[in-house]
Amino acid sequence: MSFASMERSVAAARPGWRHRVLHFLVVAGPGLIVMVADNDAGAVSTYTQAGAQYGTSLLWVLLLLLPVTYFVQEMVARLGIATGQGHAAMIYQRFGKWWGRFSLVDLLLLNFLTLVTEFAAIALAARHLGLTPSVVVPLAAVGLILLVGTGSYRRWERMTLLLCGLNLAWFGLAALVRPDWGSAAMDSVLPNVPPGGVSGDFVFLVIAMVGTTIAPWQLFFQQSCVADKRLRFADLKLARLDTLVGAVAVVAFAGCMLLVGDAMHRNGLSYQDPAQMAGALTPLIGIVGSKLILLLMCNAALLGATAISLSSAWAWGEVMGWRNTLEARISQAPHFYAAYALCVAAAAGLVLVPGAPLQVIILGVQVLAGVMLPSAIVFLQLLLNDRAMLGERFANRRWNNWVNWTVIAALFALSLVLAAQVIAPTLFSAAI
Amino acid sequence: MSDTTFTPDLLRVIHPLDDAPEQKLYHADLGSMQMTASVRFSLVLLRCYLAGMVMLVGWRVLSGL
Repeated sequence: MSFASMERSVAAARPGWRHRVLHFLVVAGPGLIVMVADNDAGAVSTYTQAGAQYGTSLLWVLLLLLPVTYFVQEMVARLGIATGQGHAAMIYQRFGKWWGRFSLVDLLLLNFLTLVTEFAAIALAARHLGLTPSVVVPLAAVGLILLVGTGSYRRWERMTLLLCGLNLAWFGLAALVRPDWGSAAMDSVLPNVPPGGVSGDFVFLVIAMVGTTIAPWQLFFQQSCVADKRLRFADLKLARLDTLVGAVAVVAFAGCMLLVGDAMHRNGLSYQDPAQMAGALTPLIGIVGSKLILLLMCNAALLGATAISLSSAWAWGEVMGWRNTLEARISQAPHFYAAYALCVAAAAGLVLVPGAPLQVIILGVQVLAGVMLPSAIVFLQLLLNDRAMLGERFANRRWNNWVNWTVIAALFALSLVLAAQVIAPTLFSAAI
Repeated sequence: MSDTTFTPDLLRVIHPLDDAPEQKLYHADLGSMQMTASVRFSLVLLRCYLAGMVMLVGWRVLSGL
């Protein structure tokens, strides 16, 4: 992890690797945070639902998404280091005001809806923990605002990495539900369709998994984060490693969530949402395990909320020309912090209005993210081929373009399948 | 003696926020990207596609998953 203002001098013994480790610890942060924060409340819900409905059959989708998410985020990190600018700023500057504002509005809308789901998850978990949502949700909102308002990027990064580290508990939970490791390993590497065949719900869930693993806010967040941290050209290799470690971590944690959901499937329990699942699994994992699921759900929501709100505030600031850095005190960047606080407070306030169907909103948002992602990646692809700006060193190589166009084509294909499913719901009803 | 030589600078790592800012590749003079007509057309089509998809997803979500 990045251990803050690390200007360290240590006794020299084989300085090569120690220097590289220290350098990595200094550079690491944006890649790891963006990836682990991607396993937000919606992701917990989507992955556990995938496990509860289809057992371990969909583990291969996660493994397939690992290189995809790495390649996409690596490009963002490279663009951020090369330009020192956020993603919204780049779209605004290179594609003009109209495209810049259009992308910003897209991002703010999707981010806001996603934020609502984060707070809804906190409210749900609080209720199951025996706490009062009308107290816990405002407290969470205040905590999230205080987290960024310290005037120190490094302080925010340290605290956020601590929240990321709490996700390690998912490994313990996955072990606790005693999965069939052999079957899980096979399903991870061998693509297969669940026994019920390709149904509309199956297609919808696969698209939701893609949408939650690679989300538009991640592109904006990591590039702005890299720019705010002022990563240098010399940091590129380690920023890539940071992103790779994050990609492995996010898929590993997601796999654990799916295994926990699989326990519902194996025991014939019906699934409604992660909080209900925590209660249903109590005989298997004990009361401590059950409470741990609820706490991890809150943690996922908090982590997602700070990253998503920051991506909104950074992007908003970039387009409007506000000062937008976590290194500034609130009085020095009032618009930036106000935008962040507005996102958090509005989403938290909306959740306290009763009656929202949580599971529908969560899955719908993930699907919406999957649908909107092709647009964001097309812009990314065009920017990474902007040789007039990036030169040969930072622009995409030929193989980068092949990989990216393949990803874009796959995302479009999934979106078209979704459209077909919406237009003709019976299209996939027959088992294949 | 050589095993215990203290050479602090060899392991000195400066945090980017403490380092001097470097000249990045983007500068305001670059202006807008030069786009071919086909790229511009593709972007317009992309937006139309997205608008349609958003409406479809909205309809699906509202009608219940």
